[in-house]
Amino acid sequence: MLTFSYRGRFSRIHRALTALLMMVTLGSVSTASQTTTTPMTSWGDPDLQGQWNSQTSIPLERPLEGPLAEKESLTLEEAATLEADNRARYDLPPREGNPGTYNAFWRDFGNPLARTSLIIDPPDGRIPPLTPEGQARLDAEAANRSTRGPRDSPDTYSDLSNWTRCISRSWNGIGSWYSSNYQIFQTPGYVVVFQELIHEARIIPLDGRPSVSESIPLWMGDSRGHWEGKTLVVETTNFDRKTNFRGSRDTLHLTERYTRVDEDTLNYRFTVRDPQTFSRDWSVVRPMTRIDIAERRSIFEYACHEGNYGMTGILAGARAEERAEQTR
Amino acid sequence: MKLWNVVSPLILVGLLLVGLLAPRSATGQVGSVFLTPWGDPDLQGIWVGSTLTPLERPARYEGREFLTAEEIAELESRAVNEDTRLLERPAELTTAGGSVDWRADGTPGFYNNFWLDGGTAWSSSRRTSLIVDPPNGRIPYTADVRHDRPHGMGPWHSNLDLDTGERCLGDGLPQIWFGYNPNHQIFQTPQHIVIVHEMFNQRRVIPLDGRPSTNIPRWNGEPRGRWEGDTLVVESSEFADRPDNYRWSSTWRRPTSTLHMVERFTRIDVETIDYEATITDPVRFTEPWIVRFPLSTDQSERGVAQGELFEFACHEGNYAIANILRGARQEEIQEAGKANR
Repeated sequence: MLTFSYRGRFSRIHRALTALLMMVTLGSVSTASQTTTTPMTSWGDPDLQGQWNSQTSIPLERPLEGPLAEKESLTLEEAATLEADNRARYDLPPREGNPGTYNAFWRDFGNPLARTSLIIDPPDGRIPPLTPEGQARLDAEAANRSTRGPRDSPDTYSDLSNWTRCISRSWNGIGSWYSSNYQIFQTPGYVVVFQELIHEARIIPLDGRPSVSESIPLWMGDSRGHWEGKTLVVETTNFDRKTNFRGSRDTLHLTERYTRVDEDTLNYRFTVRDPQTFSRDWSVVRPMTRIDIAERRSIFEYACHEGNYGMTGILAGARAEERAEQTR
Repeated sequence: MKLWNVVSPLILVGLLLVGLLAPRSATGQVGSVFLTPWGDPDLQGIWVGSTLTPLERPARYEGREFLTAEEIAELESRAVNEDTRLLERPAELTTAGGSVDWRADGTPGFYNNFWLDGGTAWSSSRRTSLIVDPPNGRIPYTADVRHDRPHGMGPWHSNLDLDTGERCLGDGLPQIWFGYNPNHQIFQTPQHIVIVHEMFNQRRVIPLDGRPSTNIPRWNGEPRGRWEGDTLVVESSEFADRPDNYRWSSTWRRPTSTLHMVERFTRIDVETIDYEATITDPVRFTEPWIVRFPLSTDQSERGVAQGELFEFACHEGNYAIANILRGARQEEIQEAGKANR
């Protein structure tokens, strides 16, 4: 877990994110990427390297109720207040009868973003409706699952997610509420994006080679990158059907865009295309800020379930609930 | 024409140029002709470590440091023939309980040749072991460690009795296991080396900037890299020492708090990195010992599968751990039945 002083960086990052979010909102990110400050590698590619964090309290989808509903943007003061309020809330005692969850100590500090949703398209900030085919598939899965008890009462470890099982987070563009850290390495011909969560590395060739055969599904998918001006564009296919991004599985075609905006800011956007699941494409922005070992922020080994008993605790709890039901 | 015939004259020209120009020649070594755009020796590529040469010198070669070219030709030819025989063996229909891998003594056999990728090449050094020091080619265990409980004998009470490799946690460093997935991809930046090991999907991020240790123990230690002339030197310490509930398939690779490892990577030609690891642990070994072998980009020369790295699927789609434990319970039931009769 990381401890560090956020205050010293706050205003600098704040300014960068203000500028970035204004550009994102105005749809003019491509001009931002042409600033002369973009660092370059010694072989002439835009330099995206470093350790980056994308934590934020802004939700993926715009809430239908509450202070974030029915508007696209926040002021930065409102965004900063939201982050501070959330941090304070994490340390509140849990409701009675609830064992509680991770407190603020475990959580990353969020980047305040002047938006009400990470989804920038469609304009309502919501995941578009499922196709009838996609809905039928998810319904069938849910029906299959519900024969084995309620969703929060797993029969066995394989009812838990790939993440909880420490197998893979797959490509993970929206981080989590901790360890939303990425380290990017570049060489001529390759970009490597290392995700702190489940310590997974994505190896992205830039040489235009064709995708691997459709018969090879991969947890991380098969990625190919190319440069469009100062932006790294990564197209990923061949996801394993056991992966799951909001209901999209092996038919996901992912397009990511990484643009270095300034020394401390990486704009990160991605577009989800899966006509078999979603009625239209949708796009997300989740900018990242640079983290620095000199400020005691760094990536360490991800310890998934080491030294905890979460998995057996969850299953034992579900069995105890079943016994309690039977007694009643 | 072999690639080498084309490249070697270029290397000669390059050596001359580097000798004239390169600042690295201040170390007295010949500068590498394989340089990154920012001037570091270029170690990048997909490297394979497969070899028929064993880690330790087998008893049959005791007292012999090297084999003759004829002996190696014979051993390699035998490996190629065995691969060919297994490949050309007609397909057999397998049924539960009647697997082709079922052995005569009733035990369930092992991976067949389709799964293995051990290669068909002896190390070009012609040595009888990958260990070059001590001179007897054997790991210098202390007396206590040599008599550790043998691995793979059970009891299989729980998943914790299986070794860390079986549990998909890794086998420790250095990654020397030539049975399958013996591939490593190296990426470089001016500040970091990243080594992606196909085995266990492990990757090591090695900073080159001389930063101090964090003193946080890790499964694969905390590596720090630096250039010494054309050689990348990686020193690793701060290995996580977890004696309880973790069993390691090889005693010599178990991470411990007293382990210190120094690895050297030197690109010696277009297809070859000279790899060397010096392993020091006064608790387990009576002296530091050195393992050395070449890594190659030429997969066909090693007789292994060719292509890029894929995801390592550890136990995906198999039921080995559950079956091992179930088998052990079945044996217990049978034992109990015998005792009751």
